[in-house]
Formats: sequence, C-alpha cells, structure tokens
Amino acid sequence: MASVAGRSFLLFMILLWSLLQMESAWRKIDRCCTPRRSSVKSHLTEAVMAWVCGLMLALSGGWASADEARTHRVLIIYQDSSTLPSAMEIAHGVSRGLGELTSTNTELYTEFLDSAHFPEPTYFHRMADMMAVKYENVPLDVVVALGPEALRFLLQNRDRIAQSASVMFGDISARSLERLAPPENIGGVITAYDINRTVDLAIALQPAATDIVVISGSAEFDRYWRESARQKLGSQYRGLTVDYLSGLSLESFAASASELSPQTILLILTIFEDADGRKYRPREAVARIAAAAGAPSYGVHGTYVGSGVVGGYIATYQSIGEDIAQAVAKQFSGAAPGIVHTSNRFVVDWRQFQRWRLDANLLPANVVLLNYTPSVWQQYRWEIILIGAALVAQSLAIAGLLYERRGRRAAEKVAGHRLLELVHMNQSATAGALSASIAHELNQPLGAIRNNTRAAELVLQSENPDLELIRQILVDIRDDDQRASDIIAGLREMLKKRSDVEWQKLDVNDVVASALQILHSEADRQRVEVDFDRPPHQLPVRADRVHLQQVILNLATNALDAIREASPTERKLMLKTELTEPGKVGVSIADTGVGIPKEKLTSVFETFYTTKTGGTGLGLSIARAVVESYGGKIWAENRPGGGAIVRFILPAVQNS
Amino acid sequence: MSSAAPIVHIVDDDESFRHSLERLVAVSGYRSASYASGAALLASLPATEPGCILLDLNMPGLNGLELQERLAEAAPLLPVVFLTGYGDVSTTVRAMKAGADDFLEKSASSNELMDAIERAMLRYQARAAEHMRIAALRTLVASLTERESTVFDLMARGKRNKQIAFAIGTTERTVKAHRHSIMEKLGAHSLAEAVSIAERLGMLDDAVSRNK
Repeated sequence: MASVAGRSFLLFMILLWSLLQMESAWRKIDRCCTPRRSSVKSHLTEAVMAWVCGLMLALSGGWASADEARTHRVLIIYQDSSTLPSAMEIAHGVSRGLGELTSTNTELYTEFLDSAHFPEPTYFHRMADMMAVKYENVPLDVVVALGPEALRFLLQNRDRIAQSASVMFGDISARSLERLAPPENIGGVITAYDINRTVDLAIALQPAATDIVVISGSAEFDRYWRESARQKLGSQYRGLTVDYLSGLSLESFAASASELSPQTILLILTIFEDADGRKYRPREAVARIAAAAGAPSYGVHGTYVGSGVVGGYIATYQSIGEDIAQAVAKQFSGAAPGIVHTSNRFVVDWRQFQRWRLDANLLPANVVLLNYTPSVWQQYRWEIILIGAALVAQSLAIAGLLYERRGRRAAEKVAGHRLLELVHMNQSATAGALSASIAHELNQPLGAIRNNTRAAELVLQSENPDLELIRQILVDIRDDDQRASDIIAGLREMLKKRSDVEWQKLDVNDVVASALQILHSEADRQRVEVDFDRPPHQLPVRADRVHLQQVILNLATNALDAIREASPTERKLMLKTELTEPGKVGVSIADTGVGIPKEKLTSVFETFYTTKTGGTGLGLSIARAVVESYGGKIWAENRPGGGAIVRFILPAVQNS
Repeated sequence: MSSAAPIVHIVDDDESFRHSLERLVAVSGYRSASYASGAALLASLPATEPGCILLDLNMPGLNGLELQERLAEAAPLLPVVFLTGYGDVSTTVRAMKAGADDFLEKSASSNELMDAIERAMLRYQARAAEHMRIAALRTLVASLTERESTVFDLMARGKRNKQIAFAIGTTERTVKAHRHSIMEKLGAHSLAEAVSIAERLGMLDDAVSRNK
C-alpha cells in the first residue's frame, strides 16, 4: 500500500507538471492570431512526452534490494520437457517460493529429462553420466526430483550425481511413491487427490444438482480410481444418487455425457484406456468428454483444470512448486526430512465457469480462478483514479481556456459581422446608385428580345414565312434571355446577404474584371472611357470575393464621381493590377477628376469624411477596413496629369 | 432618286440590340445599315439615299452635339431618332441639344419604334420635297441677270421704284422694265409672291444682317 501511495504521489506531481506545460502551450496558441503550428506543436509534444514518462515511471515497480548470505545450491530434475506447461508452472512456483521463503542466496539448477519422449534406459544412463560431469564441481545441497520417472532416475543415479546432497521429491501421487519404495531418509511433497471435496465444490456451484455421474476408464489404474471413488462416495452422496459409468469406448463416454442434463454433476476420474483397449493420456480423454458433455464436469487432477472441466479440489502446478519450495526451505533450516501432502485448493476454470453460466456468488471464499482476467479497474484502481482525476483537472483547465478563447472568438466574430453588415449596406447603396445603369444594362437584352419577337411575328404573318430566319431569331432570343438572367444573377450575388466571410484564393484580375462588368454601363452613361491594364499572369490573393469587389466598386464609383464633378475633356478611369514587389499584389485606380487636396490625402479614408452632397463618407473607410482585414494597405495620391490615384496592396498567395 | 426602300441607319454599340433592330427594320420593309459607333456612321454615310438614323445616345466616347453638327453637313436631310436606355432629365436635355427629331426610350414597344421610324421617313420625304422646291427656285433666281438680281433684292425689301432707280443710278422706267422681266422669269404673279420666294431662299436674312 505504501508503495502505491508513493507511486501515486510521484505520478500526481508529474501529471501536475505536464498539466502546467499544456496550459502554457495553450496560452501560446491563444496569443497567436495565426497559430504558428511548429512551435505550438513542439510545446504540446513536450507536455505529452512528460506526461507519458511520468506515467511509465509511476507504474514501474520500486527498487530491488539484495542481501548477502550463505549460498544454497539446489538442483531440480523435471520428469518432463521444459516446454510442457505443467513443468513451467511448477518451475515458476518453485522459484517464487524459494525467493519468498529464503533469506539466503539460492542457486537454482534445473534438468529436464523429457522421459515421455525418451524412455530408453541407455538415454537415462547417458543422462546420468552427463549430469555427473556437469555437477562434479558444484556442491549441491538439495536435489529435487519432480515426477515418478525423475524420482526413479534420481534414486538409481544418486551416488553419481549428488552423493552428499539431500534428495527430495514432488509431483508424485501416494500410489506412485509407494511403488518406487524410496528410502526412509528422503522427504518430499505428495500430490493429494480429494474426490469428496471436489464433489463438494460441484454441489456448492450447482445447488440444483440432482445426481452425480462418475466416469472412469478400463485400465488397471482407472479401476483403482473407480474403487476409490466407490468407497468415498458410495451410491448416495449428500442426498444425490451416484452412478458409475465405465467399460465404454471414449466415443461412447462422450455420447453418454452429451445426453446428461445440466442438473447433473459429472466427475471424471482417469481414462488411460477405454473398453476398446485404446490408450489415452487422461487429460486428452477428459477434454473430449468435457467438451461434449451436457453437464458441467469436474476432476481431481490438476491437469484437468484448463482441459474442459469446471474445476476441483486440487493442487495447481504452481502451488505444487510452492509446496516443494517450502519443503526445500525447511531442509535448509536443518529440519528432518519429512513427507507432506500438497496444499490443495478449490480451483475453478473461469472460462468453463462462464460456459455453464454458474453463479459467481456461489464460489467458495478461497477459490483460485484460472484463466481469469481481472478487469483493468481491479488491477489499476489507484492509478486509474489518479489519472482520471488529472485528466478531469486537465479537461477543466482546457475547457476554461477554450471558453476564454471562444469568448475572444465571439468578440472577433461580432466585429467581423459588423464589417460584413457594413459592407452589405455599402453594396446595397452601390447597387442603388448604379440602378439606372443596371436598368439600362437590362434594357439592352430585353429590348433586343422585344424587337426579335416583333420581327418574328411579322415574318410569320407573311405568306411564305422564312423558318430559318425564325430559327435564328429564337437563338438570339435565347442568348439575350441568358444575358439578362446573368445580369440579374450578378446583381443578386452582389446583394446576397451573407452571414460569414468566405475566404478563398482569388485572381485579383478576375475580381477587377467582374467589378468593371457591373460598372461599365454606368461608365458608358457618364461617357467615361475605362482602361484596365493587367498582367497576363494570375495575381492570386486570399480574400472574400464580394468584399474585394466592393472595394474596387467603391474606389471606381468615387473616381467616376470625381470625373463628373470636374467635367474634364479627357474622361478616363484607369485601373491597373500588378505584382508591385515579391509577395505583394497591387491594384491602382486612377481618374481624370478633381483630385484630392494634399492635406486631405489621409483623412479621405476616415469614416464620414465626404465632399459629395449625396455621399455617406463610408465608401473609402469601408474599403480601408476590408483591405486591412486581409492584411493589406491602402493609400491615396494625386495623379501628375490631374485627378487622383488610390492604390492598395494585398499579400499574394503562393501558386501551388 | 432610287426606287429601292428607304434605309434605316442603326447606330448602337450593343451588338445584339443592333442586330435585333436590323432584323425588325428589315422585316418591316426597310433596308438597314448598322454601325457600332458614331464615327463609323460618319465614315460611311451615303448622303443621297432616303432614310433616317436611329442613334443610341449612350455610347462610350459619343459627343452628341459634335455628331449632330457633322451630320448636318454630311446628311442634312436624314432625320435622327435618338434611343436611350435612360429616361432621365439629363439624358433628355442632351438629346434635345443634339437636335433630336424624335426621342425614344429603349424600353419602348416595337410598334412605337416602328411608328417613330415611319414618322422619320415622312419627315425625310417632306424635307426632300422642300429641298427640291428650294433648289428649283434657286435655279430660277440664278437665271436673273446681275442687274435684275440687284433690283429683285431691293424689290423684295420693299423699296419703291424711285428708290431703286436712285440706288442703282438709273431711271424709274428702266427699273419698271427690270421688274417686269423678273416677274416673268420667276413666274410670280404679284409682288407678294416674289417676296415670298426671296424669303424662302433666305435672301432677306442676309439683308437684315447686312443692314445692321
């Protein structure tokens, strides 16, 4: 608990620090109008990395300590191959048990006989030779034989391998031990099998059970087990009838098992051989029966759990290993060698438990669950709570900052809307001022349509109507109609009330051309010659089309007004677009009008400054507001030959 | 004089409108000629054929007054019908100043337009006929001798024979003989008729200014 608290504190401090980092990163984002991505990114990365480091540090364990003492040397000889899961589990249990129980240094040596694959006596003999050489200079204290074959091997070769060491055994049944008849002075752990308590577990898990079926094979060993069960359970156990099923082939066992109801308790003993004389490894036979069974099955052997049975009162391989470790530790402490039984437990395979939908509340208190994956919550509760708290705190901080930012955005947006509305009003005013010429503009195609229609009527009234002429007339009418609707569409586009600025990449030449399209008829009316000087290449900028067009319209209508006021002989409106310097697009609008008094060159852009009787004094100030909102600059000059020039520049966009 | 249909000269910078006018005029039985600008009209105006001019007043670079002066020189008989897209005061004033014979908005119906063209054509005929009559009178006046011409001038101004005789340094009798010859040559039956001829030829205006 103490280590958890320490870890948690460290974790909390690191999270707090990373939180501050993030906060400062956010502040930086906040400060930049246009976020400078790279620097912000590096700050964020820094913060996240710190956070992750903290997490890892906090989750990793404490510091290992070591103490010095006398060294004990233990050799463990396994009967099976090192890759067999049971051997691995025992080995794990042994090393864990030794690690926990002894304060001394223990050197652990292991040998795996793999007797199932190599049963030949010559092999064992050679193996003994090899081990004799191998451990010649290792003063072994204890040699442990795990499994009957290992014990047999050790008893036969004890003198050659470890003359002075004490011998112990483990992973062996009482019956096997009896057969090997070991000398009196060796101790070890006998694996205990408990039929009664296994059935007790089954009854506890299946309170509604009605009967018990006990399956056993036809080998001599199997029969021994059946008799043992008969003695312990009888024909009636705790009110449940007990049936014994034996003398069948494995297929018949599986078939019979599949017909059982879920209210039955199926106890599988051992099946080394079936009625057909086929031999099996009991675990594999059990797996087949359990898979087919219609009732939950149980077994007394550790190997069965994990092969398809729900569980039993058994010794797990790890606990066997731990028991052996305990016996070895006892030996170290100088106690007399003794024989103990494994400390069995209720073991349940969680997968099978779930397969039969058994009630978890019925599990015994000290049950060992195999294949049980605890939820993340159970494993890392404190860490989760702390990380969660830190995340919540972080989220709150971020939310706060976002809220603040949103407030600023909202204010900016309101300002943007004001400008938008102003520009819209300005557009409406421009449209009003241009209405006469727009009407004229519309009258052209409409008049043409009228004339064409009348002409068509006259053609049709003639004796021999010229249908080809009619066709041409219709084509012209269609074209003129298109032209009229284009004019209206353009006007509508200009007057469209918009709620947002549409940033887009534009060619300034196009925008000037479209503004002139709107204006040309008014210029004609005032008999002003329009000259547009543009480079052949594009001049891309990023802005709102309607805004930019309005700027040009404002400047050009001002110019027209100035020409009208002056009534000069030369009536010219001169527009020019160019790349004034790298990265700057320039637009200039010059006229042959009255010009601007020198001292007024800057004040003309002020709001409500006007010299015209009908002027609002907004045109130039709106133009300036728009140009500046796109990062540009606008100013006025006088033309050497008379008249004024208004110029503005906008940042160019790189052509990609 | 050509027997072909009269020509409507269309001057408009808007191509489709110009084209539709040409077509309407053509199916209405006129010949048409179209020009994109006033300058183009002046450059290729055939002065002798009957017709009229339809002129869009709202063209870039068009100076109505100047065009009017040039037209009066080049084709004094052709009536000008002005077309405009605007019905506002300033445009109307401009058209009047430019000597509009008729003034139409572009939004006028095709019938109104054709009526205006028809009126213009009638006006052309009237002008042409007047022009012919004056030309005939001029021929008659040109047939007078120099002395007769002087006597006619003084006569038209209401001078008595005695005064005329004094002015040209001759006798009243000689003046009487001149008068008789003049009346015969001009085909006038009374003094009033002779004076009217002099007036129509504009001889009296000169005299007034000369006297002042």
